[in-house]
Amino acid sequence: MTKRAPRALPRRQFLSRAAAFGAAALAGVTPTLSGAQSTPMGPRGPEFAPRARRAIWLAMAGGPSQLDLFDYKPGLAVRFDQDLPESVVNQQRLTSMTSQQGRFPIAPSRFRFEQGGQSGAWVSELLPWTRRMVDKLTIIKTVSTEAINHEPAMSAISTGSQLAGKPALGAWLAYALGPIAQEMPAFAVMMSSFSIKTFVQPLGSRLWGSAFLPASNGGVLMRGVGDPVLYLPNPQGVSREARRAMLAAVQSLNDLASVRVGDPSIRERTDQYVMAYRMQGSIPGLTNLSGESAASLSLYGDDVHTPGTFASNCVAARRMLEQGVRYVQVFHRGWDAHQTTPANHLAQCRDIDQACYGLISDLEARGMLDDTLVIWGGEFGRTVYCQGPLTTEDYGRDHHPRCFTMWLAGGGTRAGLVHGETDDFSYNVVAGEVPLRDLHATILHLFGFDPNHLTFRHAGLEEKLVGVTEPARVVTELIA
Amino acid sequence: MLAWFGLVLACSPADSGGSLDAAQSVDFSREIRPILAEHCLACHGADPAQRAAQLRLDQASAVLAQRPRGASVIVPGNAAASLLVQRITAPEARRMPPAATGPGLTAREIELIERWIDEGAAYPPHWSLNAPVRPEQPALARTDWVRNPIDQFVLAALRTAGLEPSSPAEPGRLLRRVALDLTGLPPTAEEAQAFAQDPSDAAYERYVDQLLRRPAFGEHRARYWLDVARYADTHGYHQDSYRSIWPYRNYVIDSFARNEPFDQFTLEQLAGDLLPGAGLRERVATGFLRSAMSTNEGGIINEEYAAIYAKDRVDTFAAAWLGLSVGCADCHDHKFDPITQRDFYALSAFFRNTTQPIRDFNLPDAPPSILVPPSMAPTLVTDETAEEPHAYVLERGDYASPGERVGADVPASLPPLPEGAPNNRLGLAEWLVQPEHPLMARVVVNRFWAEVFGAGLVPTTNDFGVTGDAPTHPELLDWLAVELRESGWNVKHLFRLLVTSATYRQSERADPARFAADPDNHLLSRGPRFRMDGEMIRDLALSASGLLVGTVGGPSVTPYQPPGIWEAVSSPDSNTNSYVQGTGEALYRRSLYTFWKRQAPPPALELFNAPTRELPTTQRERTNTPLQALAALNDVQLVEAARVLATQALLSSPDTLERLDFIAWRVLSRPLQSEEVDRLQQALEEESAEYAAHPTAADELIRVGESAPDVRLEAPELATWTLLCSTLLNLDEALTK
Repeated sequence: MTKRAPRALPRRQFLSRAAAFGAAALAGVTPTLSGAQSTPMGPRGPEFAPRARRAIWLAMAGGPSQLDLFDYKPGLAVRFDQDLPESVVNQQRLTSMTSQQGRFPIAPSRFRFEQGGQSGAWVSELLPWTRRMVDKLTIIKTVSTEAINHEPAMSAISTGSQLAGKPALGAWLAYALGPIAQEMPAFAVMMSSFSIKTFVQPLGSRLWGSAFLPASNGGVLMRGVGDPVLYLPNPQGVSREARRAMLAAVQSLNDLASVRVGDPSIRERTDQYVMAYRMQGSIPGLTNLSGESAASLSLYGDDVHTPGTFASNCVAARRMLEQGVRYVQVFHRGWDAHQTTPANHLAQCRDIDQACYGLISDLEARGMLDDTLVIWGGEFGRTVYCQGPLTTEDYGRDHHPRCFTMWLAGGGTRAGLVHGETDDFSYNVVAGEVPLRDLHATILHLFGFDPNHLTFRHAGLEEKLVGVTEPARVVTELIA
Repeated sequence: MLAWFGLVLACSPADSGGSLDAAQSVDFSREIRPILAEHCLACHGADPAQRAAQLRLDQASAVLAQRPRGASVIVPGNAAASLLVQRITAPEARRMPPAATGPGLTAREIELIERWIDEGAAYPPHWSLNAPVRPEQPALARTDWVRNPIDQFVLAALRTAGLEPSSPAEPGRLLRRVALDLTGLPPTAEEAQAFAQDPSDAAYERYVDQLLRRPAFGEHRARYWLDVARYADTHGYHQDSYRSIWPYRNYVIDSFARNEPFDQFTLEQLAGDLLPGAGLRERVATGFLRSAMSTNEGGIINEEYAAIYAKDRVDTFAAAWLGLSVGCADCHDHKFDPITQRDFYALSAFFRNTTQPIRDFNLPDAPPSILVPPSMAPTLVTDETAEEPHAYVLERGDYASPGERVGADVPASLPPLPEGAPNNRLGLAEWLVQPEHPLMARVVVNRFWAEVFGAGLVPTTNDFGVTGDAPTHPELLDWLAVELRESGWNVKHLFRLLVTSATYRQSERADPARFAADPDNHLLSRGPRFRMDGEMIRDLALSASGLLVGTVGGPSVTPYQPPGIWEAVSSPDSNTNSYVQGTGEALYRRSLYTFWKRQAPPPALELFNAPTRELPTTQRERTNTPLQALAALNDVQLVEAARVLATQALLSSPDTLERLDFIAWRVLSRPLQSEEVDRLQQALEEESAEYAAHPTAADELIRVGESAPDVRLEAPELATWTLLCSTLLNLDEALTK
């Protein structure tokens, strides 16, 4: 084994088995979806009373423009096409897509901003539904990342490290907490359809992988279109009854082998077949929205009726949490607006705005928002200076890591808060910077963990989500 | 599930180790060094930047030296007088390690340290840094069980633990095991039946020799090596487009099949281009270095990715041949192992003067590449610039903070480059294969051992350092390492030794007491038995059904895959953004030829713990999940194989019992027992009634897969027997070697 078991857990503990395909039909099944290693380890549970028990991360892959959505800079209007002062850039590194540009002309947002709710948070006209619910959100204008390109930035926000090889946040939570209901995966991932297909960023499975954590903690890709879980349905021509009869034979022969060989892992194998059979019954309901009321569906907007859309995936994500999934990451790609940022964001925001509103309202109506943390944002923001041709109506924006906007809702966060200040150009943080490791630390804290205590021994290091090089801080200002 | 939580919470670390055995003296390497590594060396280790109180506990001389105020950290023979013990048992304010740094020492760990000091505080250097010498074989009373020297060492350890070996495996079990271990394929029914007739030692050894001569031996060994080499058919980062490097895979298969000495195999992959008279073969071999990920992302900064690529090569080199996690040292001196940051960058220098561009546009033939006859397909290779190899120590691993310039060199704590060796990759490779090298032979032989026995003699196959596991059988490991080296790095000789040992030939069966005494089989008290990798599970079904196409080598193929997997994750401008399923023979090749896209590896294989091949993997995990069950039950590939196997069985005989045996010999390599037959007949009756009542369903099932169902057979009967074959293919025994 190249992986090491954590301390404080039993070396080996065989699952007792109460599963059967016979008359007792699947009562009292013991195995977990996450499966047993040859040395099964249970989740450790929170260290202190958690504020959040489950979470949904709405991941806007490509990097939405904070300048066109949340970070209102009315003073920029008079600086249209002026050069961004060098003192602002201050020798920070730029991507090689714009670092060779002759000049860095300021591109004010062409969109109208208004304040919303009691909190008076500014939100642009691109997100009217989001503006309606700002009193339920914790808007952070000062998230920062060290990465300037997609590959490392997606990796950093998903795993805490720019380089491949670290577990995803969801995998850490799965490892630490397990699923809420044992017949569900702890960590599910969904891909949404999206409008803008230029500059689309790929998403590799490492972004939801378990890396050095036990493999069972990796995200299960739940598909909004096709089979929700790979290989879930029986082949054509095999009914549920035929499958049951067949599995009953598998179980009988495994039992004979178990007696003959004596290896406890044989029963563990049968247990997983029992669980597979049960999943065939329970999983299709997760992504099948036909049982949803028209009233609740209407919250999410018209897209909800098209499988695979962000809206439809938001409903499915909520259903998964209800059924006992711990953490769902819903990806929405297409935000990488190097050119024609306004047109890109008009279409991309339409994909997600009402669905975000629907999700938060629906969670609240069902009494789930208190202990469900919702996280919205991209892997970085976009530059104030224009990439490519600039007019008052049209511009492009490059990647910007120094400050970008994310929002949180529910799960113990402080509703109605707008946190942090950026400079006049939304280029640097003036106050309240939240580096990714602090965001990760805060999320772990909401789940009841000291971020420095949730560790896993690997290759001689006590690995942790927040890394080992710099201290991470729980941003208590964000917590209610 | 209820019990699970309760039990976990009830179990504290102090419980897990058991009580101390007062009769046995404390073993520093096995018992004390891991405690120091885990709790102390982060602040009192080799890294001067992190060192607190100018104290280091990773060296005997420093530990025994007097502290400024005259006291000694350790007074051999007197735990109570030792500062170390005083501090680890002090009241919380003064206690080490500080509470803020993590969980403290357990009572058992403190007791171990006290006893170790009272017994004299022996502090030998870490075992893996001394070159292995061939140990004496232990003298034993009963030797009739012993077949070769492996068994001497194993038996001695078993006896120390109060155990005796298990009885020999049943012939059928043994034959299946050895065929799967050497070739990744089960024995044919004819081979299994012949061995059942004549299970003599001579017949077994003849069969072993046959297996070693088959190309399938090369294919099976290659599959493990390709995990280490992180071989894949796409570039990996970002766009993840196709690259043509399968001729390197051919090279690996061929090297194992023709039993190329492992030192030569090493030289060619690390430095084939620098070998005198380098020809096509040697150049293709350098695809090892090119199997790394590369990027075509638009905004990258070249220096950043140059540093990332160099780190990957050092990490892969170290995982493959050193068994050390040197990667930590890119930011700081290694906290536990004697690898400094300077060592890391000096190693990286060997790999930094190649001509590979940083942004390679994800071309199939990203330079440097060559055309390989006879197909004239391109393959990525390595070339060197004329520049003297060098690197800069990057402060905190940051590419933008280059510090001291260093030349190419090996870590200072390991032997120096051999006299006269060139200061380049060739010299590095020659350094590895010299007899004085403490790590390479051990690391290589340990991985081979793990392939057969399921776990390495050093269970952490990628970590022979201070925080890695100690060897379960240190002398056996050294004996095998020396044997491999002195046999001229003869890999087949080594595998022959492993599989003809009495240790290997033990029965896998055990009663509960034996399982309890050796739950993970670290003592080798029974034969190896564990779940096969996904490739083996698929290949077994193809082989049992006769569908397997045995063509060796060539470009990758695209067998069945559920729709939408590449599409969901890919960039639209990637040329691997949409999966096009192959046809005909492409559907039935061995699994090591399946196209490997790093951002979405073959999904059924991934469920069975195949890695993404982004980073080197020296040993896969072995989980047991319901998603695996779903894949084994429902993957078109396996359903079709079940139907084709059913077809063969039905055509072989009109008799149900003969048909059942026909299937069992192919899937399990044995006849069925009467209870099993009874149970399967019951299943046949139930399923037969089901399909008699639903003939359309039968017709649907037998049409799964691209091959046409046999028109000579009635659909309900074929469907019934298809499910029966699927039943056997899903038995734990079928999925297990």
